[in-house]
Amino acid sequence: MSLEDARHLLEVAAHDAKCAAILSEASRSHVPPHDASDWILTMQFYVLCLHVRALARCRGRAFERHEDARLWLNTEQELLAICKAYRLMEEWSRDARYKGRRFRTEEIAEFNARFEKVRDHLLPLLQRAGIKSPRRIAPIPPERYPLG
Amino acid sequence: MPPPIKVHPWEEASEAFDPGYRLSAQPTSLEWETPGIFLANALQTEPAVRYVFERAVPDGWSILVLLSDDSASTADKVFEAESALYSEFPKARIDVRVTKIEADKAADALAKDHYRCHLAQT
Repeated sequence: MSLEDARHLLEVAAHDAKCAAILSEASRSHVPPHDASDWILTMQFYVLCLHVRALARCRGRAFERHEDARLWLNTEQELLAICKAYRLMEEWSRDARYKGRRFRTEEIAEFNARFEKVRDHLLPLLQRAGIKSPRRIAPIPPERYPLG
Repeated sequence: MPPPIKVHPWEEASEAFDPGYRLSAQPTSLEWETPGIFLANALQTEPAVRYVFERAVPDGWSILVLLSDDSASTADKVFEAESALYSEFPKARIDVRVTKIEADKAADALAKDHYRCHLAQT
């Protein structure tokens, strides 16, 4: 049952990634181009958030709140290596959602480097937990952002 | 068969109960150390940390760390201190928010919103 839940969460993550790509294209082709970096980045943070939750489900845990995931990342030995990378993305995503923060090209590059680090750490753990070939989702490069 | 060891109910309860704060280990002062105070002490040498605010919420603590610059390297130092916080207060529910301060009036507003300021640096 936990593996089924985890697979479902990863499907939602793939859907979120597709939505982010669609938003990126739409905001670039909008006349004039509209800076939607706040929500593109936020959707991508949720892609990783869902990966963390999927791994937690594989291990019999379920998180309702961001605080629970954060505590787990900060205390689980195997996840300490990605904790700081995840936290920065989480805080930038919060700034985007509640303060309307937009992101510069170099910030998007920083976000993407952290996205890849967290993703590459989580995928083998998911595989070991029983998820066969989890999808390797790529972050949206800065040049695909509306004003990138 | 020996009779089971009786534990006074109060002792059972006190073992299970963790209020999320503790007595400070500082020998010169006797005060409760909350997660926010711990974080403020850990971050006082970071010049980019302008304020550390804290408020008790119904199920734990809400902490705000306001930075003058939230570049990745600065934020990482805060997250490092945050990691130590979870080891120090393993049972407390803590929500740490790290963001850039827009203007000092934001800090004034927080103080009025029942937040206690544990660290203020210019």
